[in-house]
Amino acid sequence: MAELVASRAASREARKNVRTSNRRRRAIMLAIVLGVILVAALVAGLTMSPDLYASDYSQKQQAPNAVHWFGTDFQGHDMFCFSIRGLALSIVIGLLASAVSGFVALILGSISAICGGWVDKVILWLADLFMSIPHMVMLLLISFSVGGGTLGVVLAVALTHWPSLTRVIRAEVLRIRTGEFVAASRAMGKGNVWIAWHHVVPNVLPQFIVGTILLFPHAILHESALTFLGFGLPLDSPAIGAILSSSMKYLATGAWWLAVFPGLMMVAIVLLTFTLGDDIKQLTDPHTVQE
Amino acid sequence: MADSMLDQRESIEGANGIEGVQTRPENAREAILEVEGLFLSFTQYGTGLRQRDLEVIHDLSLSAHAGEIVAVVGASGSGKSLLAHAIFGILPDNARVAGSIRFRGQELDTQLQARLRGSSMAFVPQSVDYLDPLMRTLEQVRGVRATADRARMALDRFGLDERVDTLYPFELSGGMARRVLVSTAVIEDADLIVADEPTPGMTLEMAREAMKTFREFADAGKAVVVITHDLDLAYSTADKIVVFYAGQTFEIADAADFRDGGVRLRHPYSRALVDALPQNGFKPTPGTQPYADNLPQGCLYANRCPLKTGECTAEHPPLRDFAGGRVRCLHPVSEERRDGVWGDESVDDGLATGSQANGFAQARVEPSRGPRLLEARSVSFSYKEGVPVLEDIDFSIREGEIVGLYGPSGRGKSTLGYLLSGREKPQSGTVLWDGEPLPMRGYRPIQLVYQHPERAVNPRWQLGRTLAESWEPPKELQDALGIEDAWKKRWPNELSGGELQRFCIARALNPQTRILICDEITTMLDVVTQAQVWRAIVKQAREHGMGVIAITHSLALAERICDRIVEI
Repeated sequence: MAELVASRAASREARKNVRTSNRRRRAIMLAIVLGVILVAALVAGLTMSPDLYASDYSQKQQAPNAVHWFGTDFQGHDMFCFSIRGLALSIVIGLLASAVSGFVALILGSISAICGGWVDKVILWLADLFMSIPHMVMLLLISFSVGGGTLGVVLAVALTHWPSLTRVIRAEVLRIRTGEFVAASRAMGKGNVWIAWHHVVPNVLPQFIVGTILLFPHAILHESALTFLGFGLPLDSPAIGAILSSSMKYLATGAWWLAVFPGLMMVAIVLLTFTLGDDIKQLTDPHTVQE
Repeated sequence: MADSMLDQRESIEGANGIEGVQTRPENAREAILEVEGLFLSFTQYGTGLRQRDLEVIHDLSLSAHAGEIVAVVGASGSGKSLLAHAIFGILPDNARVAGSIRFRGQELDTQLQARLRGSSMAFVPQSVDYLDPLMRTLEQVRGVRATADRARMALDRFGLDERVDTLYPFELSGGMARRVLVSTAVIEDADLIVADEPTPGMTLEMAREAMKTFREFADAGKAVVVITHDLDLAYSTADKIVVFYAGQTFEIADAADFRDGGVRLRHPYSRALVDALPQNGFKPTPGTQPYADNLPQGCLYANRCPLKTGECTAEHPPLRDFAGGRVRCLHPVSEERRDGVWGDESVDDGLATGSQANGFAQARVEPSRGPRLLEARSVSFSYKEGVPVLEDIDFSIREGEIVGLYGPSGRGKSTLGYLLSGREKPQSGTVLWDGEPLPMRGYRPIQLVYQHPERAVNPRWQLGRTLAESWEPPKELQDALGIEDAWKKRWPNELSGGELQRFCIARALNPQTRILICDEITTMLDVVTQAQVWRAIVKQAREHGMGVIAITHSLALAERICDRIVEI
């Protein structure tokens, strides 16, 4: 008996030592930190006085120093403030695009799964069509056809990110609708609307939220790419794509900071949102929620 | 299909189909697998951010020697599958293991597990979902090392001919997929096979064939551990039986001890298992297995034990040698005490205790407005064009009647259940309730309870809500089914299949239900729970004049509870 008690105590002790840190707490902390960084960049960029990144030819072409952390460009813009401003623009466009794409995906995916038949076929065909054309070509086409500029970028990015999420939502709604617990609910006399609201929505919502968050980094990368190629925002505007594009001319002269810092900031934002999305996925998926 | 009363069938206990089942002295042989003092816990999140450790296996021991088949039986949710997963190192990340697992005397750590897995140790997982959905049968069985010829031979012995070689898992029936799974394990030249529930969905003959294959393995000097709910199969084919309960080893006994109504068994729970078999007393044991976060101080069985004394609730009994086996009990049932304690005890729940097929019939209450009829008239159904599942089937049941629908897997029993409940529509023929087409609006008088409760409840609903979707069952019914109030606050992934199934049944026992279709509802449950659940259903059916269709592959069960049995 004493032996047993001792062995139990020992095993408890052993387990206490190997017990991993609280993953859920870590995930929530991470989510908060990431959210704060995103919001800070957004607010700082949008409320920034234009004087901070105004051109100042007396300060042009400086390498990073104590006053200009990221250096200055050929027009004397402070690259730090200029990049923050650019990031804020990217985030706004990214948010707009992922919201629109997510909404389209939700509507099309649900209709596709609920109606079935030819409606389903048409929507799937449309999704396949969008996915079969190289994404960049699609973006260029749309942006170009509406005359480029801010409107062109927003439309192009918003209208091309829905197909994959639509398929996910369609599959998920379909799986739940044909599931046994929905069949049981129907047998207990519950109507379609009731089932949709109480059974389908709670099961699809997490997928939808995570999918929409994961669209965001794609959207801002595509926005920058379009601008970089000259089909997006005007090249003199403070946008990461535009900054990178104009830095091309000066890289050969050794002005490495013009490309490196804005590029790194963009990558950082993309990685942050990816991590945030994965994090939320793990927290809401019943299979991994306890890990 | 003709209604027919199946007469007798060879009793498993009498005719042991497998040759060479003898218990041999075990110290002569090498121990292949030794599990000693195993503890397993999960780190879980409580409300919000609080973490807690749920200890689900406590001080579990088991050993398997060369030449031995060890059957692991016990309550659903007692940690049987977890043990298998711990041996193979495939537990989820939030699991913590302490204690010792040795393979041929060598401590199994993560590296060794990875090296031995699939070569020296083979695993037959419980769910057929473990088959690669994109791999054809022959490739699947062949694996990485074996030849196609050997794979073919392995499939042959389970009665799977060349036609299945090129089929994908989704094209196989449940029983066929199960046989493919077993084939994947026996083809490796492993020293240890651990099979987690290898036989559900197989016919009795198939299950015996599988056990015979395991026997040949054992005779070739290997060790086999079979985790099963099928007590009949366990004691007719294994050498040694290990009884698990609430994450502990309660008893390690020779399989022979389970014969003759289990009079040689040492632990009260082992006795309860044998008594709960449909062909024996079909005796339920009140109460439920304690949950991992709410374990009592002393013996884990004390709350249900008829032999409990004060010591039992105070002291934790160790596993000790007793009368040729091992038992974890302060007062094991010894020869002298047996008669007095177990003699003529009967169940006084108002139901018959006799073993005749119509044992329950006397308690029947005639429904007030004349029994209505549910009938299927020459219905046919196929999921895939040209492959009919049901052809021209007639079936009928009246309110107040309990009918068994019996037959091997793949005969369309479940599909007939779907048609009768209105879940699927027949492609030809009609289903009529009281002479009219099935009512599809409002609460349907014909309800279906599914085989897999995990799929039949919304994973994002607490169980109280799942229950309330139908009605609020009275306290007596909840007690009869063994539903604990605390479970209603839990999420489905926190309960075992057996516990979830009780909710699914309670939900369907709404008095508005006139015909209840039970599709293999107790296949995945232990025999004690099976007896408890079926007694509750039969009682409710008799009191409310409800009809019951029991779809089952267990003839013993059907004979025990049904007024008539239909073979399909």
